[in-house]
Amino acid sequence: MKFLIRFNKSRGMPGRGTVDHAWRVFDESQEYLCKHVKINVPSESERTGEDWNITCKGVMTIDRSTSTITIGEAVAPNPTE
Amino acid sequence: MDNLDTAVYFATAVYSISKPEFVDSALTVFDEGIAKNTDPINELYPVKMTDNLFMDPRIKDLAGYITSTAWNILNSQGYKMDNKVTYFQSMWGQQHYKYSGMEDHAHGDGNQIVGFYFLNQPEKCSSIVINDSREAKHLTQLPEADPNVVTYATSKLLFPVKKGVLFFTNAWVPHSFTRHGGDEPLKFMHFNIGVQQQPVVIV
Repeated sequence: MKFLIRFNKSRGMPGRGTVDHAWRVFDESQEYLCKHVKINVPSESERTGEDWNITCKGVMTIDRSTSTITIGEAVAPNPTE
Repeated sequence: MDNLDTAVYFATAVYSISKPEFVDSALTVFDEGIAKNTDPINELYPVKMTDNLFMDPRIKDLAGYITSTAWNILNSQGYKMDNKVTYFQSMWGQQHYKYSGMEDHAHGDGNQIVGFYFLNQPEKCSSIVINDSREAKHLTQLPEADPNVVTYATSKLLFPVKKGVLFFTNAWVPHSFTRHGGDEPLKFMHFNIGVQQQPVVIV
């Protein structure tokens, strides 16, 4: 899945997370706000209208205890399993 | 007339589908809602209505079908829906007694899709009326050569009521009902569906 990562310019406002929720992560249909992002796959910049994003493809995991979203490699299923 | 290239734009779509499997549960909730309305029947407007019903768990399957179908309709019409959700602004029951009808209106207030679910089909009952929303056409309307034939000149369309049928159209489409002529009351649910941004997930 493709992800877009963008700075949260409205952090701290109602419904937009705390002032520490500095990152917006978009998948194909949903927006997430988090404090930390780790990108463990190739990434590049991409422009969407007036906004610039970091974009990458992979699989998202969420660690709510640290408010961290990680984009990692998709793990291929083991055909012997 | 020469065979001109003809293109049709700005069309008005109406949708219907038979879903009789929802009638029994909907009718139970509907009848309870009407029974709670103890106001006397108004002679001039002989209709009774219920409160909002969409939160009743007994009709959650009907409610879920309506909101997902409304999303599918808007998506198929070309709107960007991938980050939006549809939700009920309202869904309430209407029980129309003999000579009742519904006057021409459209739904604003953020609604995008409106519709009906018909719970019975009495004899001599009302028809749904869909009216042309193009005001300029109304102002310049010539008489129709044959009002019984649907043409580009048509200004309103009548659809028969059928038990178990769900009927959808865009909220900007003006609609009304002809007078109900039967002794058995006509029962249906009317619903209004809004659209909002999918809520943000805060991690």
